[in-house]
Amino acid sequence: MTYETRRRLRLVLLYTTLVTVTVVICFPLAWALVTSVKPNDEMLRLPPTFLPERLTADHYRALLTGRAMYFEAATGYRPKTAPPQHFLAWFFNSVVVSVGTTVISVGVSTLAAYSLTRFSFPGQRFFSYFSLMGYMVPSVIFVFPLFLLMARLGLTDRLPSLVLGYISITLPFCLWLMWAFFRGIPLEVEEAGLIDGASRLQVFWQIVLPLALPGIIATSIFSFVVSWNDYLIARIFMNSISQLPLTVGVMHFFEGVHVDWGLMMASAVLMTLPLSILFMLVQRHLIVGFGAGAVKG
Amino acid sequence: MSAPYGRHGHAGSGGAVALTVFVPPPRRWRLSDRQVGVLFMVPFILVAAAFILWPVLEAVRLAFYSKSPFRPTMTYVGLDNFRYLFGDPVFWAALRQAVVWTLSSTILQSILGVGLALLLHQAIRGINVFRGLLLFPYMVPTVVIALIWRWMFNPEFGIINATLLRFGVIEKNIYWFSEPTWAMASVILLNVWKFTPFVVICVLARLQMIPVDLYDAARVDGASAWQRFRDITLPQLKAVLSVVVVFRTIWTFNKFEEIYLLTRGGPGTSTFNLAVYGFEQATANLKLGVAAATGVVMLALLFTGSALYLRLIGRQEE
Amino acid sequence: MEIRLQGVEKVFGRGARTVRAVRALDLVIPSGEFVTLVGPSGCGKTTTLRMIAGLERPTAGRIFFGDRDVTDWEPRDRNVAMVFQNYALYPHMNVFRNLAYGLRVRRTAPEVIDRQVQDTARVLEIGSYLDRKPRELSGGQRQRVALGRAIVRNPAVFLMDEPLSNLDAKLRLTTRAELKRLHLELRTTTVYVTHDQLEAMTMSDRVAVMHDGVLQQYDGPAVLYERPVNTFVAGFIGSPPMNFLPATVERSQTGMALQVAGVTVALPDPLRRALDQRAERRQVVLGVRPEHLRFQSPQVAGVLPARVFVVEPVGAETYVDLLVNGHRVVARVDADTAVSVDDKVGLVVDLRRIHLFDGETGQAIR
Repeated sequence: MTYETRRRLRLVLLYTTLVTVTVVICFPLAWALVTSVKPNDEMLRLPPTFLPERLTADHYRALLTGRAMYFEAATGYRPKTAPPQHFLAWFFNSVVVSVGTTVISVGVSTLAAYSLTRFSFPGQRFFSYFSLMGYMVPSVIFVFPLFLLMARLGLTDRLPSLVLGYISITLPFCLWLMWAFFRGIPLEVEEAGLIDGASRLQVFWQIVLPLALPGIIATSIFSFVVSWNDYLIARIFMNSISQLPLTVGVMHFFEGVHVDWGLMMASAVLMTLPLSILFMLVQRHLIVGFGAGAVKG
Repeated sequence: MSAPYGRHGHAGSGGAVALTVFVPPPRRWRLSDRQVGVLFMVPFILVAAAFILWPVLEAVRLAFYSKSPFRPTMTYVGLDNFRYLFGDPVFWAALRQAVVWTLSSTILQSILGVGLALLLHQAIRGINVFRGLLLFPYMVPTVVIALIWRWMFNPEFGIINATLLRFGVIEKNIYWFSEPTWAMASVILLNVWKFTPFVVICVLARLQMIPVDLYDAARVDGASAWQRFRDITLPQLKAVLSVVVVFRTIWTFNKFEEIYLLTRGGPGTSTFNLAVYGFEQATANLKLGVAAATGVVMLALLFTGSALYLRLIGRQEE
Repeated sequence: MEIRLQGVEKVFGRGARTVRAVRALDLVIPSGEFVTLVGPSGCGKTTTLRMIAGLERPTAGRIFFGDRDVTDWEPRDRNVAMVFQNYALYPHMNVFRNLAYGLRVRRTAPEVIDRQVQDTARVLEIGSYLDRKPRELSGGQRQRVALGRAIVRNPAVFLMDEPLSNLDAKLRLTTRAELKRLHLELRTTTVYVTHDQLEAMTMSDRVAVMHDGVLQQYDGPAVLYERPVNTFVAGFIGSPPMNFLPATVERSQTGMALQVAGVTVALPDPLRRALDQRAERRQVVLGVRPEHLRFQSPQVAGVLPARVFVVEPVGAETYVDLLVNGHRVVARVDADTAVSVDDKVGLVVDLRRIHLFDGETGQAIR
């Protein structure tokens, strides 16, 4: 075998493996997408069709207009708590809460991480232990005391309680990530700013933050994803159906007599959509070749 | 550059700046570095103390009280909650299942993760697309995966049973979530599917840091592909793998949603782990004290576990 | 702007890991001069520069700019400019904004900023890439931008921390000359840090040699070369470095004489007088620069017996590595000198140019 054929063979083998693995791993998501555009009768056909014979947007329309047509058709009445009519409210709640959590936790931890990397004071070690602890403590431990705290503050069943609850999960790892990013920014660039006549705050705003932007974006996206995906805290804190975030909301689809898989798969797709957009952004921003122009070595 | 500096006339043509500039003395209202450092820490300390530190300490305190979520009263009961736990066969079953769930998930994730990372480390055209697709499950909400899993593993209409029947692997439908073993297997599969990408990301990052020189040197020395993997790649991955395994073990042990959303701990209590057990104590039995005590036991296990592990790793390093 | 350091100390760390980076440093940098701090890595030269910049606060001692005590001033108030080893350009700003930043934060009028940046860019010939980002520039171009960022503000003091060390050898030579020329034009007080003694010697009005946080000698380049105060300075300045041979002082009929490698050498008068006063110290170190050694036939009386170890022609001249009584010695001779490896030769020392150092303290004996 010549070198060239060996190389070709290796490539073919590699691509075959990669494609197979990718197909297997992506199948569940693809299957949800396929199911979500199948009409109800085709969905329950046996054996299942891999590609829909007829495309329909009915499930999506039901979610986005809030009209529970299948629910009505199946049960003959239109209950006040029919899940689909709240879908948009849930989506909106999830967006508000995730954005709120991200802004606060990334803001607070960015300031703290900068302080930890650039100034020395006693007890600094404590904060790295703190972050590690935050990684380790299971959320089931603090969710109930946190609930009691929210009840005392009169916040339960209101969106701010979710923001505060999510911060307790996101804060430790936001600090950890921002800390790592700030350690990667060369001190000299800041010192050049100080010598150029900028004050510490000017250096922070005009030099450090722009340089830390890839890190801030990555951390924000992680924080957003964690808040968007949480189920436990919302399940404990929230009660009224209109106040739920998506995660707890869509689980309500399993209640009642009729389980509508089409609605569920459509909401699965809609819930994942913002994350896939963000994920593409993360991928681009995680390649941090940004500082390479400033400092060698 | 042949002596052009003479034209550089700040002092002359510029006129605005004289050679000896008056330097203003430091002004008072300016924040010193120390003040900035403290000021930047304050919001973090306040938020962390109120919403992380306090709840955890409160949880530990709660473990010694009897408390219902709907009544304001709290009664001190000493070690009663722990006695209740250790006398409850469900607790012991949950602990056993937690160990099975944690170990199998972590081991599968680590092996698959390293394999995938090696596959994705290849420098070939289009690899970024594959990387994106294979890492994406990490971002997917557990609720979404649970919905999809319930649909795919649906006994009557699910694609899994349909496929298995078609290829003659099984003769009649498997009721995945009604049989303890299958239920456990399907939650483990869900967990592995979602979190293997985490291992891949960590390992891939480390792989990209291994200097190519090492492989070149090994090739010149006559090492085969397998020898290069065993003698260069694996030793370089050892550190990151040991950290990843610790974190994955801890997090898997703590997982709640991955089990609860798929099987609710069922059938019966056969997929309970300690987190689900604690949750059920708090929400179904309204025993917040017992739930808190479960949390304390989990913390104690995690701390001793990781301390032992770190000591073990530390000894190996020497 | 004259810079004065008075008893400046800098201690890093606490407890067992304490490092005394700079010890009791007194230094006066006269207004308008080019002064270089030179020494091996870890000698405290960069720390000293950073204290002058205001980036580090001295543990003890005061720093004066002219007659103003600036010890507690922030860097921004000192009106200094600094060129960093890695240039430390702002990666997210283009070249124009990099140059303008110092003027902008000082609230200079936009048209003045524009004029000064354009002037500087023209002088440094970086005008054609003012709108590029640092990462789009070559190493030499980045170096110029860093330099431009310093001179655009017309500061009272230039501080340079190994600004040439990231350039390739050829570019380093041309930039070195340009920096020197720039200083001649601007006459701004400049403090320059380098570990390269050649840079220090070629560019400076004065050189401060530092070692282990202690200032060893502070003089003009010629004085450093001709009259080093101790073995450290003697061995650090000059390339190839000065040769050292252990020697013993003996009293002979003609006065004090030197016993080196089994050969007795008569000493010139000034050294003999210096030795007379400290006859109790018998162990000394003989220092000879490579250019003050000549070859002779080994049979001639009074020459040092040597064996050629290796011959290194460098073009205009040749460095010959020799072994003298087990010690390595380098001689710098004409390119046409005929020697080859393992030849036995006799070494003649130019006695008027030798240096003697105390065997224990390493201090020069004069």
